[in-house]
Amino acid sequence: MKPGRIQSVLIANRGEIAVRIIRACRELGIRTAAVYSDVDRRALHVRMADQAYSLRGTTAAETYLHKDKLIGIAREARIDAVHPGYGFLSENPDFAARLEREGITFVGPTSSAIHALGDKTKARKLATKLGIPIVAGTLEPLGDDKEAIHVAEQIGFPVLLKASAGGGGKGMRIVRTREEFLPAVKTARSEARSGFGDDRVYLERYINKPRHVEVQVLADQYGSVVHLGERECSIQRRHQKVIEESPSMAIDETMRTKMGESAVALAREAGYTNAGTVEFLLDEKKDFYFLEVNTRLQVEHPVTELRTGIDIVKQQLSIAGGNPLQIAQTDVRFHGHVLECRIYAEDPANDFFPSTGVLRRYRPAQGPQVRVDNGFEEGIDVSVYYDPMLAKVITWGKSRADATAAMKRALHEFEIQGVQSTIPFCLFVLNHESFISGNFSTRFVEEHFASEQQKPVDQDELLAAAVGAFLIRKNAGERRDIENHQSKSSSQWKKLRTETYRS
Amino acid sequence: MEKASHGNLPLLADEWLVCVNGTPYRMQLLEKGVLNINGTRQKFDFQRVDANSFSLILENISFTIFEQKPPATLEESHISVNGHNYRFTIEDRISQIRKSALTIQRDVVVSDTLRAPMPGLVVNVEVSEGVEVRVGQGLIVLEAMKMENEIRAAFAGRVKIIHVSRGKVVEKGEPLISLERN
Repeated sequence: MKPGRIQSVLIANRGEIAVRIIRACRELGIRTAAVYSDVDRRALHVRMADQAYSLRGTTAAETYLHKDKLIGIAREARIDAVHPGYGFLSENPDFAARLEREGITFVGPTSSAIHALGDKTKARKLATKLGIPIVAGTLEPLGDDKEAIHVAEQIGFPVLLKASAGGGGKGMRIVRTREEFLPAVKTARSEARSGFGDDRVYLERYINKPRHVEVQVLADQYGSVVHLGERECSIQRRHQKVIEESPSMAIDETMRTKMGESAVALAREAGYTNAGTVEFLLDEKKDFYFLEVNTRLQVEHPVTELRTGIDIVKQQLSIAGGNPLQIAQTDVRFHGHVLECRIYAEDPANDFFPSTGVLRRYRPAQGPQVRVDNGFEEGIDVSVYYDPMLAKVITWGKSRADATAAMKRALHEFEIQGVQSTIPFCLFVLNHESFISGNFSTRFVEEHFASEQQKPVDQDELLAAAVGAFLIRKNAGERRDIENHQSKSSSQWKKLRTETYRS
Repeated sequence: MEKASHGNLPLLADEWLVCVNGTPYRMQLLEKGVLNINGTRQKFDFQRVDANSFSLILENISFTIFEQKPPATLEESHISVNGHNYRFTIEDRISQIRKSALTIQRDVVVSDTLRAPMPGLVVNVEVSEGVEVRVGQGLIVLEAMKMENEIRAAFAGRVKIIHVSRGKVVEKGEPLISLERN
């Protein structure tokens, strides 16, 4: 693959995904420019990029979501292209359109394709037209309160409230009763506005115990579309994925083929270009329904990269540079089994609340079969302002059990101190009989996690901790004694010297 | 304070008491590399790795110990092992005595019969049977480990029985004085 026309890229993002994109660019010989908020000045992506520009400000709205500042920097840095990563402005058609007018390449689909597929309600209409099954619900965004209540009652509670411009679980709410409905709409709108700058929401029937399976696609500007197989993303908390894998244990070859073909058909019909992900829900009868298209690079893209050997970020840059896809569907081969665990700075024992603080010790996992996409370093502050994901651990194995064994080993090696992390939760899942047997849904956390948190304490470990506490305290006491002694003798020495001087 | 016997006995001069969730570990450095833990000899080697991390080899089992944050007081410690966090209280003989002294005052609050919180010497009885006492009035002074602790009335009442006299050596838990509430 040639680098195409793109010579320089502005990365309008932060954290591990900014680092991931910089790595691809560096391998392709592309100049990189990072942007940073005030609190990210010392972040890894800033130091790794060739150039770095301050966004002056702290909150997402005044920094990584600020289109004027980003476009101003793109001009100033004389950049060919902007890679938005995921989140922030990655699915914002207005941002893509403004870049198009500036003559700067947006590494992603065209603004009109983002409109057609990224808008969840429009995408549902498109799927219906192609005969792809969708979850029952509204085909238009909700209107005023009176109409919204009426529609919700027609679908029947519980209903799922979702942001039209959404993704990543933001703005999403399960509403079980009529009384909860209007307050939930208000919260969902507010989350959608702050997350995506668009407060439209819509409704879907709530599917009990669904599984979430998605298909990665690549499409060039000349009508070629391929899919790179599926990813199972059912292990979630707060509607956000924590563990992903490929292949999915829930689907057979027939379904796999059907879902792949549906994803390709949707992308082709929408005139989609670049990398995208078509998400499906599976109900308990294993019927699949089109959910939405994520018109961007996904957090979990490395799962597909390790399984196919295709570098999705490099493909994105090639496609955005105007190159035709070099891969035909028959070239896509799948090898072994891949797992991904997302490491969030959150406290699993406290309802996955974000956990902030300085990373006092931070040693990502290493070793065979392990890839770590990381955006943090020891000594860096995990702030309250952005997504609390620190890193992703991805493991490859010749079988699912092999990949799982590598993942457990890697998570045991990953050392994080200063904040709580989702590592204990991930280990809990990997050791759980439902996960091992493949019999789980997006409700895994509520079904299995709460009751299992009171694990018996390992007595050897507790004793070791007690010995550590004792020896640290004892050594500190002795050090203080020595220091006191030294300061005493040094003052005596000073006194002696003074006296000598006087005489 | 602790239910298990290891936590109850007064500490020797070179002994320490490390507690987590009511589980006491009584520790004493016997010689270089050997600890007495709750009466059992255990071989150890302890090395600092970096600012907050330590390598502990305890009876040939290898652990990485992390001190989560500098303790707010010398009596507490936050330790992490294998990603699990533990909060310890640490006492040596001096801090144990200090704590016992505080306990004496607390005991008045909960009991009409005051008992000796530790073995000690009654150095003064400040009241006599039948007198009315007000809240906070001193009743008995108990000396333990060279420290005098005044035991005060937590409520107004009348002194019913004085179980001890000046100069008596009392055992832990022995009744000292009984009050009758007004």
